[in-house]
Amino acid sequence: MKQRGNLAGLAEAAAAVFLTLGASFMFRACTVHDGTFMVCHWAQNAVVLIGAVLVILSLLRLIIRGQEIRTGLALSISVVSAATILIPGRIVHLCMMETMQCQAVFRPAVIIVSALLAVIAGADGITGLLRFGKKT
Amino acid sequence: MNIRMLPLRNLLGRPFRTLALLLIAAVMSASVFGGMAASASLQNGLSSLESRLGADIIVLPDDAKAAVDLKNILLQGTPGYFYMERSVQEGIAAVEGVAQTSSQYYLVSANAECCTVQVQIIGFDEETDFSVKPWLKQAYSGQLGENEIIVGAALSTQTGHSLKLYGVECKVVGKLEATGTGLDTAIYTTDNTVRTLIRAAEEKGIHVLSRQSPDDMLSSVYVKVQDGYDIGEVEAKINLTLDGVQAVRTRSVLTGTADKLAVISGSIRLLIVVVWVLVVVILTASFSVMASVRRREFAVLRTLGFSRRQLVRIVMTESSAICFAGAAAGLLIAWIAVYAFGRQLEIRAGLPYLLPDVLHTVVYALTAAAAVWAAGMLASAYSAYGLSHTDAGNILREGD
Repeated sequence: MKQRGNLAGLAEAAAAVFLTLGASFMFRACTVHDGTFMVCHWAQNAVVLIGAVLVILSLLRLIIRGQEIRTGLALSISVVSAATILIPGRIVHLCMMETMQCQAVFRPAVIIVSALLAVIAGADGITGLLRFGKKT
Repeated sequence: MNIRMLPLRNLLGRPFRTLALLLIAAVMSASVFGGMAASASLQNGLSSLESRLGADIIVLPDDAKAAVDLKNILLQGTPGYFYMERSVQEGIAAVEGVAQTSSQYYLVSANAECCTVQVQIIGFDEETDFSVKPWLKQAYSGQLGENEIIVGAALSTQTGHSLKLYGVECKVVGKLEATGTGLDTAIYTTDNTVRTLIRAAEEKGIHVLSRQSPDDMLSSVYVKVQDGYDIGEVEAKINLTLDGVQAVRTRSVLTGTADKLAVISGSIRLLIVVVWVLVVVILTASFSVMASVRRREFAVLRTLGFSRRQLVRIVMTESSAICFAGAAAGLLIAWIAVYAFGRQLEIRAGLPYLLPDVLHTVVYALTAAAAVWAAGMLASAYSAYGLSHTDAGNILREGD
């Protein structure tokens, strides 16, 4: 049971690191053009910042021993990563042309990785809550 | 223990074996669904481009670059421009067999505020147009006013919003249906608005455009051939009669693309068949190995009173569960690749790419799931028969 719990924590940390590094390098938004940043650059910054927060939360989720705190952290990771889905295109606008890097790569990649993280962390949190229910 | 839960417990009890079989099923379902969806998207894109152009012949300046530019505009949305004398249109209209002509004027924006890249602006004649208007009507039924534009489906702006082109606020009055082609990233407007944009460009110090005013120049003439006339003959007549122009059949512009697409679609179909056969072979081998390993387990179940039918049901249920779970995982992976990153595929392939509608998507998904399930059933049927018809007594007496 303990190993399975750590497995979920590791998966959360891996997904959070992938989101942060991916948004910075692999599936980044449009590059600087003529010395100016496009609006999608700020969406990328927001995703990287939240990704970094998610990395810290998921590391805490791995390190801290208390089951109650772990469950709370998992649930918060789930909610924050679900909110990250809304950043590209909704909270922060992207470039208008759908063939551009920010629309064609950055947006779907952020949505998929964030959704995956939200599902894993959500399942982890709910499992933790169910365990509480059994104990009390 | 509930007998119905036995297959599930068997699967969970051997996680690595189950995971390996799931992976095989997932690969198969991803290749079948992804292959069918990608192939259909390419076919849809080509059909949509053919019907979108609407003309039998396109007349361009007699310059190799013009033909390449036109193809890039149509297929990749790479902005381009080329010009010829406006008087050409009258000459084309006078050629025997020409039913209708309509001119278009191509302009490339300086970086619009929307994007870091240039945008193709297409000025068209609303009075004579037959290749753009039918599509524009789906979005906008009135006449375009001064500084009013209609945008392609891939520009994520909405009707009523404004776009700044060369510093001029242009109101978006309509949006087109998606075609999966380069035309989706273009902006359509009238020649009057094009003139305004050229004046605005001059004010910004871009004087080169003023030499190609739509008053004297145009970029292409779309031609519809009269019924009863051979398109090839009319094309040849235009090329013979008029100097400095090249008439190309619309189909010939797309021939290279259609050939490329036929090769890709053929490869995808071949890949699907090869993967299916491979999966059947691998699953059959896996189930056969499993059957020999599990002979004693089934012999015990038989002596405990399980009927042959119940043993067959256990094997088939395990196989079905693996196939359906693997198929679901494969469908998800393929959906991410083909649908979520469809635009990226379109850009990389340089081919028109229009995703199938929901109904077709569901049909492809169900077909892929059925193919995986059929492969699983075929592969496990022999093992199930073998396991249920062995002599339990002999097996248990054999020992290790």
